[in-house]
Amino acid sequence: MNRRDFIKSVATVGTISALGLGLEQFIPTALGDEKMASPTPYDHDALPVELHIDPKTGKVDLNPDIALKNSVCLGCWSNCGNRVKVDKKTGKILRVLGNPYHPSNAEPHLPYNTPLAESFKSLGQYQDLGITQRATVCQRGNSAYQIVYDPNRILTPLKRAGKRGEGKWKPITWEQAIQETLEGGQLFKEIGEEQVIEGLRQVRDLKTPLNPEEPEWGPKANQFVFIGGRDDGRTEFANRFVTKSFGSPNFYGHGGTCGGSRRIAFLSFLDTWDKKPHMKADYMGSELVMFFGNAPGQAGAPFQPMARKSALAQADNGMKAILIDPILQNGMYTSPESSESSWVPIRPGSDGALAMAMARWAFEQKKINEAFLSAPNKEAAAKRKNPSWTNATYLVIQEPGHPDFGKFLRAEQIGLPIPVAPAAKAAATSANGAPAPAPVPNYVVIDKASGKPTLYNQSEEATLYYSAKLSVGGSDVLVKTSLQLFLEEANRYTFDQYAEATGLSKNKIFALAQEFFRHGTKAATDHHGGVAMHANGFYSSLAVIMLNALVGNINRKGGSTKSGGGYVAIDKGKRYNLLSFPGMAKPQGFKISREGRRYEDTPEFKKKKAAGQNPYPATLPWSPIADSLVGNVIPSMMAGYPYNAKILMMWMTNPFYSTPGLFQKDVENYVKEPKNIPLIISVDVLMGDSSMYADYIIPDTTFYESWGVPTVWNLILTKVNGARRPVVQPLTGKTKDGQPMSFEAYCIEIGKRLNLPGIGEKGILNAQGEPTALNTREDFFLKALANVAFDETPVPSIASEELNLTSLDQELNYTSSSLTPEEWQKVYYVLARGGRFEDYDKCYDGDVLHNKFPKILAIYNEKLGTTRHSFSGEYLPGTACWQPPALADGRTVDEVYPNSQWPFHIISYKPRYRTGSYLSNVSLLRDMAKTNTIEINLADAEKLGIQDGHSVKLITPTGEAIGIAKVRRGVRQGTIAVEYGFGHWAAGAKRYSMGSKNIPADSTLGQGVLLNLITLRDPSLKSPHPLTDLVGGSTDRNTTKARLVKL
Amino acid sequence: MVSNVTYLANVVHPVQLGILISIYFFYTGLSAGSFVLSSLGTVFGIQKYKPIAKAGVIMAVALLAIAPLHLIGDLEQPQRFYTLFFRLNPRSAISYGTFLLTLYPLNSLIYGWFLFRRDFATGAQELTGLRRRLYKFLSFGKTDLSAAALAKDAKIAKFLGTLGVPLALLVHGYTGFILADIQARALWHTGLMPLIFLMSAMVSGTGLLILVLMFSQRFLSPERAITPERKSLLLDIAQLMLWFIVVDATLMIIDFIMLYFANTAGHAAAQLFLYGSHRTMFLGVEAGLGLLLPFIITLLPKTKKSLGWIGFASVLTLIGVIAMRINFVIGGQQLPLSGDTLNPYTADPKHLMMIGIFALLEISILYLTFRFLPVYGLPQEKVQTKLQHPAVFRQ
Amino acid sequence: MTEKKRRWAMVIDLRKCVGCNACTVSCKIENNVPEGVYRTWVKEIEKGDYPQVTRFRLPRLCNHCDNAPCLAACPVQATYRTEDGAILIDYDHCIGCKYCMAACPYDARFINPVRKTAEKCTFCYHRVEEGLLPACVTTCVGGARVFGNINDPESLVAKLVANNPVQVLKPEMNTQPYVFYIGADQNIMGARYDNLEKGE
Ligand SMILES: Nc1nc2c(c(=O)[nH]1)N[C@H]1C(S)=C(S)[C@@H](COP(=O)(O)OP(=O)(O)OC[C@H]3O[C@@H](n4cnc5c(=O)[nH]c(N)nc54)[C@H](O)[C@@H]3O)O[C@H]1N2
Ligand SMILES: Nc1nc2c(c(=O)[nH]1)N[C@H]1C(S)=C(S)[C@@H](COP(=O)(O)OP(=O)(O)OC[C@H]3O[C@@H](n4cnc5c(=O)[nH]c(N)nc54)[C@H](O)[C@@H]3O)O[C@H]1N2
Ligand code: SF4
Ligand code: SF4
Ligand code: SF4
Ligand code: SF4
Ligand code: SF4
Ligand SMILES: [Mo]
Repeated sequence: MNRRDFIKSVATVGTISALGLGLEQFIPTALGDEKMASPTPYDHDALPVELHIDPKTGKVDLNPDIALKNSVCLGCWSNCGNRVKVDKKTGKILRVLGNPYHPSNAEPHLPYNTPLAESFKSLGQYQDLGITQRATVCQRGNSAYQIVYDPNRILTPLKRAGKRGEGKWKPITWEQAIQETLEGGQLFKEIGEEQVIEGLRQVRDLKTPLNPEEPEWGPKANQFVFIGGRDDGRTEFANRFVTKSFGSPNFYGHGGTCGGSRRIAFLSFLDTWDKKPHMKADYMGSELVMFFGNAPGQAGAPFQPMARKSALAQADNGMKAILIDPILQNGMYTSPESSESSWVPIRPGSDGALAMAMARWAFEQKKINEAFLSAPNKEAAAKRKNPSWTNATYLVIQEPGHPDFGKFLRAEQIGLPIPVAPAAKAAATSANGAPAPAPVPNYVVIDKASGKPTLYNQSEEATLYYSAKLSVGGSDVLVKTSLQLFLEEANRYTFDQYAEATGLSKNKIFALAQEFFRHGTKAATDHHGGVAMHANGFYSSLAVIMLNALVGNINRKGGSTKSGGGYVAIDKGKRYNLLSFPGMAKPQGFKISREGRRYEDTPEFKKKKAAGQNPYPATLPWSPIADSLVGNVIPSMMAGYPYNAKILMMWMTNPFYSTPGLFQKDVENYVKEPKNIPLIISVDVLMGDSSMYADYIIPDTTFYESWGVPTVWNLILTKVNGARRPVVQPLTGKTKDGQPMSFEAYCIEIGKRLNLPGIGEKGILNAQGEPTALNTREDFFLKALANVAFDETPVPSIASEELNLTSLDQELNYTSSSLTPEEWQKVYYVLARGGRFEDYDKCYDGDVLHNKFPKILAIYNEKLGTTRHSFSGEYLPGTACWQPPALADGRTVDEVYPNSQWPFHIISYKPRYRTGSYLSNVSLLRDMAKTNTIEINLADAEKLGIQDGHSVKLITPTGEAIGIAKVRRGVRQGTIAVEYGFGHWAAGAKRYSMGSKNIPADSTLGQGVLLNLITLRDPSLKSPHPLTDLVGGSTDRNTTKARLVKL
Repeated sequence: MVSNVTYLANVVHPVQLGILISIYFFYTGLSAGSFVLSSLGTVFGIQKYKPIAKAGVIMAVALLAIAPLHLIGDLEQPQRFYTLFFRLNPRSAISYGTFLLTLYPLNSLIYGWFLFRRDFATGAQELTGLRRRLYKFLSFGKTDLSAAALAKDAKIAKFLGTLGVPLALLVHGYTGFILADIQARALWHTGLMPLIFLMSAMVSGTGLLILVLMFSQRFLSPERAITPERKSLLLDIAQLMLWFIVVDATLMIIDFIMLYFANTAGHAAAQLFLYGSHRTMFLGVEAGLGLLLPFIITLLPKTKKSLGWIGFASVLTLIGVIAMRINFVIGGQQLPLSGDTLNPYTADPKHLMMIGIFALLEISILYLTFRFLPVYGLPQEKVQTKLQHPAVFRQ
Repeated sequence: MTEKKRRWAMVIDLRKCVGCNACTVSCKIENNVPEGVYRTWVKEIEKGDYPQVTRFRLPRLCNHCDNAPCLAACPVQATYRTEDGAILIDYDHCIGCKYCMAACPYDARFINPVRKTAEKCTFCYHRVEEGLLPACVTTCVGGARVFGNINDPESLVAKLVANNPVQVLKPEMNTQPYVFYIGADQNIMGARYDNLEKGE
């Protein structure tokens, strides 16, 4: 190469580069190793679209490779609808969308008769329908599908191959799992355990008393104890199996650790003990909602509707949100329209004090809704256009020592004449065979006009405050109106005392009361775990509820709503009777949790009484009006009081993790020893923190693989029945007859082998009383759906176009035997829409709710007021009142753990990116939060020299925990908050083996702190026991006192 | 102002352009500085700098040969780097940089070749062995040593050098410019940025030149010695460095005054460097060690005459300018755009390894070029013997 | 008169943002965004002196700026603008130089650790082209996110912008963002330096 060439070549390269100027197509392809096409507008890695909508005409073209299936979410326990996008080729879930028909997904939701094809437009630009008809799922609803594909999902039955909790398992066949758990025997001989274990067959004994000396405790079958989770639309199946087929009363949901005392307080207020109604504020119609520890954007039941409706109400309707919570949670949406929204950092456990103080203020300032409260019956209320009425004016016997103390005065007791009720009318109301309602007792009021005692339904207006002696059966007996009793409770403490209890200034309390009562019936309270999950949770809840009664907002737009509920499903329906069946068992005796029955009825009480002893206190406390006291179950077993268990079965629950104050070394040791609970069976989808201590683990279908007919907890004013169906083929193994291994398959198989009533060929009666089969899970749930489809005016049969769109007939072909062809056509219609939903225009009738709570409201509850405390033997107050959190022996938590030694309160709250102990295996959510923190107020942190990210140690009377500090403004001074849902010791965070397969631990799954390991126990009880609300049954999780140290 | 805001949630945005880019800026700076020094004699005709012209250009080329490796190494898709040539974005400073980065070393190479041609040609004829073959090859057959040819060489060299100076300034100015162009980053977005980069390039270029000269003259030059003339030139260059430092520091002071009184982001940047967590790196290392100390050394009558002190000062300027590059490149991105804490930066170990390898490569190239190219003329004895045969020489 | 060209825009009505992050999660699923990086996220602050404290939220994503510094910075034209104003990245040609990330004043971009290219919100262009809406919009629980053609006066986005005071992030950067906010608190819009000034 000569110089010239050299320069030339340099120049050439230079020119090419200089002139290249992006014109790469002029460059010989040899230079390019990749295609030089124009830029790729589509994301290679994005999902394929589900359909195409012409933005001009709205014409919808489905992607033939994708199926859209309407079903129900269970990312948390809110049971919103969803629309699952499934890849037809792989059968895998690609993404989850909202179901525009379902009121939890959309505001407003689509009219039910909207053709399916139309509903797809809610995804698109056409006429902005994608915005106005937007149907959503929340962060968890979007991502929870990942649990289906957890590589460590349990897909076949497992049997313990080492000590309990040791993490050694071997896979066994379905048949072996059934055989061994059913027949028992020396099940663990191969690992050197000689113990003979009784199986379900031996324990299912409805005759032999479990304690021959005290047979009243019940038969041996009661020693089968079942703990299940929250209602996912399958719970009724479980309940039916345990209580009605097997015959054990020991069926538990997680109520007692969830919001127990709140529910029981509502039962008391609504005086309804057979069903479980409860109320929430109707945000959309409200001017002001006071959220007592139930911030609508944080957790909430149901989360999505709470979050959405509260946001829309604040932004569009100017609803004010007042968050009464030690922590500034999400929920005030800073809309200028609701600029007066505010946060009130209350001292944990003192909501009762605040509510009673507000009530006292309202009584004093005459701000209560007297027109509402003074109507003694429905008709009188209706005349004043009130859609509900109360017993505020009813007289209650308050004479100390009187045999009827705490009972309502009856007309016959004071010789008031009683008109004969027209019998025909009573019969007419109880059509379609439902049991006739019990006759209403003849309550007595003081008629306002006459000033005389009058039968409640013969007065137009009755006296609200009354306290005097009446002649009853010849003697003077003190009687008071319900409202008088409530007033006296409100006046029991001064405002100064209330202020001290709540940590709020008197002026703040007055301002809150003024604000609340200013809005009349357009103000309402809303609460859940924050108020309820204290040892005083019941009375605090009741006090918060009572504020609604004082403004008279029940059944009103913007007031308190019991929700629309659902259509008849797992019940005695138009097509099938899923409530009862021939040979149905009636559980006998007492529940192991010491709930639902009085201590005074127990053999213990009777024995002590007979022996002339003071029967009080009971060995362990009883909670006669509460239910679902799951936190008491293991402590009862440990105390052997009232008895111990032979078989513990867990399903959809993680009680060792989720029960506050329970799982310490003593309990772990107890559970690990097979002598104590001889057989533990867990039905789980993964190796959970509780399941790891089981003897057998039965695989289950996840909610994308299950059936279910859930409704929504509350807040939806119209009727809702979700229809959950398997949107993907279950990944679990198959049983011999081709059923996916699941909880239902297990129960059905056990039932058949034990010949239990209500299961098998004749398991379910149809409406005509003819037996039909319960052989598969579909048999049960499709029949429930048939009930839903036929309730009231039956839904239309599915149009052939919709059948083509959904291919439901092909998809469900394998279950075709479950229903009649006529039923199928309607059930398809329901399934295509993901459930049955009343139309949005049924929310309100003018200014009142369309779906109302139809009964009287109890300012005073007789059942409550006639119940005795099982330790002190004293009557419980029958109205709302302020009681500080206390131990069973009556000492308050602050007395036992004074502030001087325990300056902080710790509380927990629901995780945003997890659900209870669940969803920690969802990587999409872990990507949002890998761990929780120990949240502390700025001022407290400064005092302790703590900064964000510091390692700190929490010390409580029951233990210690180390975590990372997060310094916040929105934490009450003197309070520490720790998000729940972290700090797992299993569920992926612990190694285990399955045969020769080793499943390594992923420590990121266990990060963070679990407060339940260090929350309070009740030291006044003789055996290990969480601190419990003895009235409402809540296991206390938010009263724990603590110290904090910087490490 | 006392803040009444606390962050609850935000996403962390780690610094993207890291140590590799900082070091790349350092290299281009060195190259530009060297080139400018090289051009002082050839282009600007300052006779006393003539002897360093060749050393300067060799450094300029050698440094710029390695510099882009850092850039490519920093790409997430290094195998696609060549598309930079073909998908030019007329609005992107970096796009132009690609061509500057290509043209400048090419130009320097050719310029250098013309500086060296005489020696190559001579050496090709008069030396033996490896060098002969090497020089013969490098002369590309252009062995005309006539006065006319040499004059033409000088002319072309001057032309190319003249072209090269703005190219060098552009190459480095543009690195400053691409930062200055980025409005998003308060620390970078100032008109002074290209000048600051240029001046620190001059400081470090001079520093490295001094060191390389010292080392190569002592060990690799035909004389194997720092002759008195060389020493006086070195001290002279050191005085140049003094002035570069003065200008650089002045620019820096002006820049910080402007930042301090600019918008909140700029103020925060200034705070960060003057009082905050970057204080040590900025005031201590970059300004103190890198500018102030060398300034003192080159100023004090005693030290400014000592080769040892000068060498030390040169080392300090290099450290200071590396610190400067890191402070500005990384520090500039650490200032949050949406957060309330500094954006984190952790050097990728792979990147650190690359830097090490590239540095070794650079040192090797410098060593080999200074060892084998006639930077200081041809080996004395051999040339002298050859000179006795002018016929051969003239051919 | 010819119809004005389509221009995609998003309005985020912060009065309705419940801070749920359904947007964040759905975006990751829809667009297969790997762990640790986010095309959209929700910034949240607490403001005020105890007990007068309030929480503010700010969903963040690429603003699809009209005067996009990232577009100018990209040396290989991998970043480009579509007809309707969306700023996209051609992953086949991105060299991963990261200058766009340095240039974007909004932290909108990141390196996809799997694909090894720059990445950011695409306005879900693959969905939008099919007449659908972006994933985050479709699943926005509070109904805060609204998407559409701002040049169509009948569209909801256009009406929202016309009828409300709207804000954009860092208007002083003159980037002309097409993500508009209603009701944003100034304290959350940009960075905060008060923590930094304390030094170490
Ligand atoms: N400190 C503290 N403690 C609390 C709370 C709190 O806020 N703070 N919250 C309380 C409340 S409100 C509740 S409701 C309880 C919840 O407590 P639990 O009722 O125990 O429910 P989860 O913790 O959600 O556990 C659900 C379990 O079910 C399993 N599971 C999930 N899906 C399936 C399935 O399809 N089939 C089967 N068989 N198993 C499945 C999961 O593996 C998980 O182990 O926790 C309570 N405990
Ligand atoms: N994200 C998410 N959502 C969920 C769930 C979930 O796990 N995650 N779980 C679902 C379930 S099972 C349930 S039961 C519901 C529960 O819904 P919530 O009851 O609303 O949720 P929690 O977090 O248990 O409620 C505790 C709240 O009360 C506050 N608090 C604590 N102590 C007190 C107190 O003494 N007084 C007052 N006023 N407030 C107090 C806490 O700071 C917290 O904000 O949420 C459901 N939704
Ligand atoms: S609120 Fe619960 S049920 Fe509803 S979408 Fe979210 S996770 Fe699913
Ligand atoms: S927000 Fe950033 S990435 Fe998006 S267009 Fe604007 S400058 Fe580019
Ligand atoms: S990282 Fe990719 S998109 Fe960004 S500037 Fe570089 S080439 Fe362009
Ligand atoms: S528009 Fe699409 S890419 Fe952009 S943030 Fe929303 S979901 Fe993510
Ligand atoms: S999905 Fe909507 S409401 Fe939820 S955080 Fe995102 S923008 Fe806010
Ligand atoms: Mo719960």
